[in-house]
Amino acid sequence: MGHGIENPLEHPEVRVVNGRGYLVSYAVSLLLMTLALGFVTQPALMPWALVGLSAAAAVAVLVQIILLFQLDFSETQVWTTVSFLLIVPLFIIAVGLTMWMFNALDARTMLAGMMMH
Amino acid sequence: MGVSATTASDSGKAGLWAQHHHHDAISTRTLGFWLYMLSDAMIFAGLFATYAVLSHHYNAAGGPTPHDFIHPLYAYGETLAVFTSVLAYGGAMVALRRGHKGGVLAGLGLAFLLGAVFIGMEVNEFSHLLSIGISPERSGYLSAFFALVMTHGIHMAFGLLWMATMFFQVAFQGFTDKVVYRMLNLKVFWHFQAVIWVLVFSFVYMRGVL
Repeated sequence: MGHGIENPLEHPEVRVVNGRGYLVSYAVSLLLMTLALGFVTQPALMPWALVGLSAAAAVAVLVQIILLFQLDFSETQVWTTVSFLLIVPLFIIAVGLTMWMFNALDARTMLAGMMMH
Repeated sequence: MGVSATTASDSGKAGLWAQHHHHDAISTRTLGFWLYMLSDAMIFAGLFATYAVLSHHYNAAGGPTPHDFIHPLYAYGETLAVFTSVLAYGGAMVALRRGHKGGVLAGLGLAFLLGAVFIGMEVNEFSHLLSIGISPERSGYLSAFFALVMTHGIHMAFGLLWMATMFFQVAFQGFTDKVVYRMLNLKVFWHFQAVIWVLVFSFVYMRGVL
């Protein structure tokens, strides 16, 4: 992580920049978002729309995070990768638990009755 | 706890707690800024959770639902602008690695222009929505919609301000330590906006069309 380098352009944080990774990330995520658009606009694909959308978003996010932020276990990037991995459960707890709690709440309150009318 | 024990460990793998190196400004500041961006991600987690809860049709309070006002092709155009801007910034980073000042300035300029296209599209979209009475105070759903999408938009606007600043710093100061780590941090900030936009596009815009 640390380096006694005079020229900042020789720093490992700069050397790790990968133009090919940026191009692949661009192509893959654009393709997946085009697919997501297809899922909601093409009647033939609509039955799978929600699953398709979620899968496209998950893969696009994964590809972007790995390729744009150059996450790996090299000496330069190891803490970047580890800190990211540690926040994933927090993200899942924050979004997932909130959705689960309110779903359960809706089912047990008058809101469920309102939905039927 | 010996330094010798750490350095004697497998040098082929990075040790998480390896103590054989000191911490220079570029390394510590890029890691520090990355941790800041992860805490920013938690703000978005809160906003996405709120949106998920309030996106049920009864929270529209009889007002418009996303199905009524979202245009998927327009949102796709915004996606194209964000992704291409991020790619242009990537081009600036490749030029930075090569020490090519003209390339960095060209990449920054293009990334700025495309980011401005995105902001312009979003301002146009929101002013249209407001003009037809679709505003945050209309319903819980619309409050959550505007809060989430505008938080991303404000991030983009601050990114543009930062990018304009870096354009002049690169032009007039060259590749000093400070300019280089600021470029690295802006890279993280700008690329982070693309990741958030994937989630906004998929779960707010495309999901809303269904």
